[in-house]
Amino acid sequence: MSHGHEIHIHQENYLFKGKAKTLSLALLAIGILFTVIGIFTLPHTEAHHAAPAVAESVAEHGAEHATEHAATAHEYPGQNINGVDVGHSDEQVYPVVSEHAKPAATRIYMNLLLNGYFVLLISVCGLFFFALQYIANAGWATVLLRVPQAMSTFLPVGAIVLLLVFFIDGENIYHWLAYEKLHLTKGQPGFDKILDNKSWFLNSKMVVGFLVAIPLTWILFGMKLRSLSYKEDAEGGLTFFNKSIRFGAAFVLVFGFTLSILSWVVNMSVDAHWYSTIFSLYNFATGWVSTIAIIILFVLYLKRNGYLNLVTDEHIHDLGKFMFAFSVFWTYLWFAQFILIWYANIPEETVYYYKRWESPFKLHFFLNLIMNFLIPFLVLMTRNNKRNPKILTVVAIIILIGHWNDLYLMLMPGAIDKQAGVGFLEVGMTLAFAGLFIYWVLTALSKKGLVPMNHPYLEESVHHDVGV
Amino acid sequence: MIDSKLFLDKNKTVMFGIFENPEQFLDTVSKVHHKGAQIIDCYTPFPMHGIEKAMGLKRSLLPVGAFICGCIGFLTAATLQSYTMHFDWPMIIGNKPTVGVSYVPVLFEMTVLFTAFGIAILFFTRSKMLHGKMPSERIDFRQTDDRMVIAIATDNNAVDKNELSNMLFSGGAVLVKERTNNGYEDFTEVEIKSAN
Repeated sequence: MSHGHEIHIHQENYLFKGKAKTLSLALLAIGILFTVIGIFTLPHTEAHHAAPAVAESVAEHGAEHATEHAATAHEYPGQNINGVDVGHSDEQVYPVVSEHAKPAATRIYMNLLLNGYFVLLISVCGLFFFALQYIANAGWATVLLRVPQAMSTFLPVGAIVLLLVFFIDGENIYHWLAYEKLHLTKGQPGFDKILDNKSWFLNSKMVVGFLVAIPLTWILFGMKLRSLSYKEDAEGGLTFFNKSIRFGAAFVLVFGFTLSILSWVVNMSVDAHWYSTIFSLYNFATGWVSTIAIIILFVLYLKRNGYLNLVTDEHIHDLGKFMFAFSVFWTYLWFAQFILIWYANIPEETVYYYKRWESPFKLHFFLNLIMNFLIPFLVLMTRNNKRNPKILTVVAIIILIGHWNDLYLMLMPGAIDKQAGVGFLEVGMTLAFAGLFIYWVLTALSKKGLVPMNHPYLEESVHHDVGV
Repeated sequence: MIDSKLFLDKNKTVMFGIFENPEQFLDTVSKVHHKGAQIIDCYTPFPMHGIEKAMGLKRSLLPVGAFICGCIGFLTAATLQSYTMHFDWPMIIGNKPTVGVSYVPVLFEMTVLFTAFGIAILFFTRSKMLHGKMPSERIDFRQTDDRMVIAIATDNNAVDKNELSNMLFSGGAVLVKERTNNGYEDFTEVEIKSAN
């Protein structure tokens, strides 16, 4: 802190042009190119649509049950959970019996789902960051508040992508949806007790309702909070600040429930038989730490280009601390979910990790821990590294890739299992989303001033100091 | 950690400036530091932002101590668990390996425990505030209420005493004292100049 001499506070207007514009558009173009290459080089699978496939298998099983050929070499009686037969059988739980192959195009929709969900998480956590500063009465982040504020404008994109994916290829991605179409009742061959019990919640009407209503609620809250902030810029006074606190508190309350529900219906229901009670919090941790990483990247970019002059090392240091702390928080939740399942060793639960421990995902499983825990934990431990823009940039990018990988590991095994992989398609789609996100957020930033001039905590934020 | 020059030893000649306004206090501390005088310590009734920088304090080594304590905790937990569960009397629970993932909760808890207790003990030891230690000085009756005190070593003649006291008064000090004799009981307070 530079005590004793005045810091001149003046408005900054970001101009989105030149290199940044070219680069973000180039990223988008390269991403789309890679995606197209990826789509045309997809490994060809024996494509049959999911619903007939399930019907076939049901017919098959039904026939076998009818003729009492229960104990053949490839078929185990009992419940089928995510392709693993469990229950009713004392000795045989494994091996994994793979589900019927999905059409090759499902991989494209899975990528859309992954990236759509990721950007939705990031933008809603940006809004959460924004609201949190109000309800916590926190002053330190005021000088950089416009960055998460701009990130929250990206909400509609993720929401639309998720809805499109659900309507176009939902039946191949969510096996509960394909099951629902069969309208099976108790006693019929192929009847699934677990899915039937969950069907009051996990049915297409409810899920479409959630997919529409939840992002819409967030978008409305985002619009309201942003407009309050811009009005405060124009008119000043404490009215808008007090209103922001109230709306922020309401949003955070709603956010806690709605994010949980969204994480269940979008992400956890890919493995519809399996459930974990910590899953929604774990998803929040993934989104939150990625949001912090992105805020850091944007703030450092703007600072390097001569904007956000009020942001000092102290603010960067605090963001670094946030990134460090929430990487550990993520690990805590990841491990809390893992060790209970590992220790209890209940087949219904272990299938989740059994699949992720298998060949195409084993590397991702360990990369997950290395990129999201070990690297941030060891690198960001010292104070100097948290204040070093270069190191922060590198770690933030590693964390973003790591959490993409985390979502990959959550979504892919349940939906397309062995057909998943990382190739042109995955890289391209992610780059395209990244390019679009950067373009969108920087455009949003350029529309309004970068400094919330009439924010009551601006002065406090300018003099923010974390000590020696 | 805390520099030993910060201890208010009984054999030091010390000038105390007593303030009532925190902002004036902070400014004056900064000025005194930049003048080259050796500030022993500042005593404030509440934590003050930016005072470490104004005093020119170096960064504490406490985090390094915390890291070492954490490592000791981690190693202790690893040794304890692997000795008891794997070498001394191997116990297989739930068909799980005797060395492995099940160690993690205890590793985590003991790392945290050792770090927390370790830095608390290190901090209190180094700043001579361990339990049972009597408070060394009370320079002003109101220093724990609403007054701020700066203690400056004057035995090294870095800055002229009169200049220093003028600086303190012009910075807003309500009282300036000097302690000259050795020993706690019999030190004399000499008022160099009274305010106004």
